[in-house]
Amino acid sequence: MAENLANKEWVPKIVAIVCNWCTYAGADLAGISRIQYPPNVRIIRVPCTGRINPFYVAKALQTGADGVLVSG
Amino acid sequence: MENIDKKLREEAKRLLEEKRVDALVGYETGTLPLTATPCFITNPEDAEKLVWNAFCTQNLAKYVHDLISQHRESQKRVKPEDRKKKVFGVVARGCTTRSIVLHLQERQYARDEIVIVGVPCTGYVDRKQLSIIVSGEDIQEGTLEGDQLVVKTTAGEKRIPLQDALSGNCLTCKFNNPIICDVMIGEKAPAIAGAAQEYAEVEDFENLPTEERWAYFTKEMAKCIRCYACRQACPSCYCKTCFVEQSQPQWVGLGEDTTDTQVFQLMRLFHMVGRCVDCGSCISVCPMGVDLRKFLKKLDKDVLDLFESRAGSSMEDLPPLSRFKEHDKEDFVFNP
Amino acid sequence: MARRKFATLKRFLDYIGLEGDRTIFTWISASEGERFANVIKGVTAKVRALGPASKLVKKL
Repeated sequence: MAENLANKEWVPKIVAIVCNWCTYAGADLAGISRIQYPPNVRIIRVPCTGRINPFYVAKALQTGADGVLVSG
Repeated sequence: MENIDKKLREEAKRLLEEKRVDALVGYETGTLPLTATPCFITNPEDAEKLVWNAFCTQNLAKYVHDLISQHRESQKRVKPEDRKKKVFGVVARGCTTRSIVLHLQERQYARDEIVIVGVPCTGYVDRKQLSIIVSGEDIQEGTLEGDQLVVKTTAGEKRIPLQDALSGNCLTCKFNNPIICDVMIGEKAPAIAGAAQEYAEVEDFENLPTEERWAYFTKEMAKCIRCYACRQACPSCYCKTCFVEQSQPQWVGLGEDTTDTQVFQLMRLFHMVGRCVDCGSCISVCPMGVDLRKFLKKLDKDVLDLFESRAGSSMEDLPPLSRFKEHDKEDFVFNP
Repeated sequence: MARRKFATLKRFLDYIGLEGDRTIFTWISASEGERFANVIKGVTAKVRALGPASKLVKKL
């Protein structure tokens, strides 16, 4: 298993912290419109961009995210 | 200085006798030579203990906040008609009043719950700096003569110019006189000469390559032993439960892990955006000598640069992160 | 207000030496599906160029 993972090409892990009303809906639209985009993002939905504590960003980086996208 | 001490004591005595304050927070001579320590005075006779000199280090706004919140907490169990209001006096220099302004803006207490006794400030002595100057020798005795510190150590007597031993934040201080006060003791202090070079250190650091900056950050944070003295001393750190002690969710691990320490420091620093008054309390209490100021000053610089605001600089200058302008800079936004 | 918070956060993270490109802020509205896809592409490309994160990462 570990060997298999090591042989694979490295793909970045990206955490996207997104607003329910803007970007999340935008992502939904991208989905329904069948627009292709890289599958490396893990989306975390929050009620509003103002809800995002800067700590989320630090915590994401600490726990192994290669990049953090904050979008509202 | 003698004169200021005398005036301060008279004023404190008067405030206590007239019952304008229930307790007064000030400084008294410390147990070690060349130190002063915070003290609480409730009895007018004790006003004789008060001092005001270059060894008064801590920002007393922290104690005012603690006293008021403790008092309020104690009043919660009292019947509404029996509740008492207490007024606290505080001996405040420039940065202490900035912290008080910040507390008032953040609605921590009302203006009529405090009486501010303003004092002029020309900077305080940094114990760590002093200890470096006397090459770590034990200071047995010490006095301040004019602008010279006379220090007696095991190695003999030494005269040190006061300017050399002053704390870094005092050398570039722009707010050395009280912003708001009810009573002012003595004349206003002259402006500090180094105030124009306030951000010189930060600018130098900004120009270093990323890797060097990261190396410096990790080096400094590796010293941290997570004693939380910085948090305890900081007048802007007053959350009832600090994020490090929260367990649901547990934001940051409590172990020895270096990244946990880095994240703790990073977040504590970041809580100071537009709130750090550069009083130097966190640095003076740090047992490991972590260079926190380099990072705190950057936040101050950014807030001034982006939002033209400085923590507690006036009652009208509201906390920058609780308001916005339509045309705030947006250059950091990513546009593919 | 969120904009102010992240403007300072980004500058601060960059200041302490975390690569600025790892933390990305942007605005996407509900009607911008195309833009969302472009942003994700852009972000992935940027992070890929930086390689795996090594700073601030907790070894578990």
